[in-house]
Amino acid sequence: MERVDYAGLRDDELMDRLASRDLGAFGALYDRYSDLVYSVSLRVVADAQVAEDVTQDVFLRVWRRPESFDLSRGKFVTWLLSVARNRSIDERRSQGRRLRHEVAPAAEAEDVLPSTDERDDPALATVLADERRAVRRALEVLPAEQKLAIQLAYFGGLTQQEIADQLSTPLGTVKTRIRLGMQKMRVVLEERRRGERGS
Amino acid sequence: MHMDCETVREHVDAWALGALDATEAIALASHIEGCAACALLADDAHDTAAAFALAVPLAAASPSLKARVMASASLLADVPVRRPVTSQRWWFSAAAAAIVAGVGAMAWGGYLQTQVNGLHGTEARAQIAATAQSSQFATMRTELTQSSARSVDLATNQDAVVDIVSQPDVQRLPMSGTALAPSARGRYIWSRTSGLGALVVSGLPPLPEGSSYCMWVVYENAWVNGGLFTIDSTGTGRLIVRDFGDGIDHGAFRGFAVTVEASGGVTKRTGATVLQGGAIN
Repeated sequence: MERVDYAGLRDDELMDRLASRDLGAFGALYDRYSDLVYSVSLRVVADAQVAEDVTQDVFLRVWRRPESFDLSRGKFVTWLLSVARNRSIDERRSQGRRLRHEVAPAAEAEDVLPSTDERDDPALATVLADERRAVRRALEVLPAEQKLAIQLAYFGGLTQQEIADQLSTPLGTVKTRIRLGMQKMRVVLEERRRGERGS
Repeated sequence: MHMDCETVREHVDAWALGALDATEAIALASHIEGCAACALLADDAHDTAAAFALAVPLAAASPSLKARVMASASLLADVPVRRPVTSQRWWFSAAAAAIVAGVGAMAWGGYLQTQVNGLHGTEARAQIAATAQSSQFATMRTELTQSSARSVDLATNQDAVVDIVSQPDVQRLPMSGTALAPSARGRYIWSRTSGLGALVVSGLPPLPEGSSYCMWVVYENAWVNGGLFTIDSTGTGRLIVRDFGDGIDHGAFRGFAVTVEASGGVTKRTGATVLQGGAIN
């Protein structure tokens, strides 16, 4: 019987094994990213039980349809988190009015993404800790109003018009905040990538 | 709505965050599919947007979640993996799915609710719920722990239903029982562009030995076999129809019908019609 060190395999190697229905590989991916997927979903749906349901759905989708991920299009974690975010937004929308009231407090709570982590995750730490720290540092350079507009879009599932309505801010201003915020994030992340390549 | 490269550059960040309205998002996604330069911009914007997800404060799911996920995965282990489809960028598919999800969820949700209300028994409700979209997955999870064979079927059907409701031309047709099965009713949803259809029926009488129900696509000049299906003890049955139509011009489309046929299948209708929808006769 082949003994596989799943924890030592890259994401794409684990995904390859999913095509041959390797439950060990699936379990390794779950261990590696379940907390992150759950955290993203929790951030969006603000309900622990719903977030767990979404997390289960996301991973079962990965299991059932591993071909949905195409390595040539980008990193696995980027894809996985996009699936988690989109699935969570769907869930949030499906719950409609019940969750809508929770958006308003989020809009007022400026620092929705804190700059410090709340807990350590050994499995995640091995692959993403540096990147997570870098992203959080990048977020620190964003003006609060830009960060808020982006967060309402990405985690709140709001369109620019809905954000403008919610913040009582002109649509053009919201568009500018989102564009400038994304540009700054892009610059900071690119500088980090260049630093990685140079070191 | 049409977008040129300059407009795409202006909107791509908002698009990557999911902040464009549906019309803008579709226009932008359509442009990107045919523009390599803008597609690169979109890739970059998506990477940047995804970084926000990396920054969330970590929370831990309950330890029991892994057991549930692994148990469900184990039950689904026999579901065949589809061939990779790489002609579209994954985020294009994801964006398209996100766009249609709201519409599809409403359409399918309403349809599903009608079905659920009209059917009898927990079994029927659970099985139909399991074929619905993501908001119904909680029911599916419960079902998955009960029967691996049925789970495989449910998962496959679920994929097909999601494919159908994701099509822009998805249509629904109610079906009612004939004098032979007056309490029978059903719904057929289908998409001509995808060639997929899904039939859900209830209230059909038990079948004689050696026979099955057969679904037909009814045209002006012919009835085209859509496939055989059976029912459970509550009279409920489901059928996923692939490759809708046989490529032959049979005249105007009239509707759908269900007849009783021999279990081995038939190429031409021989049995009595028990359920029908559309403008048949």
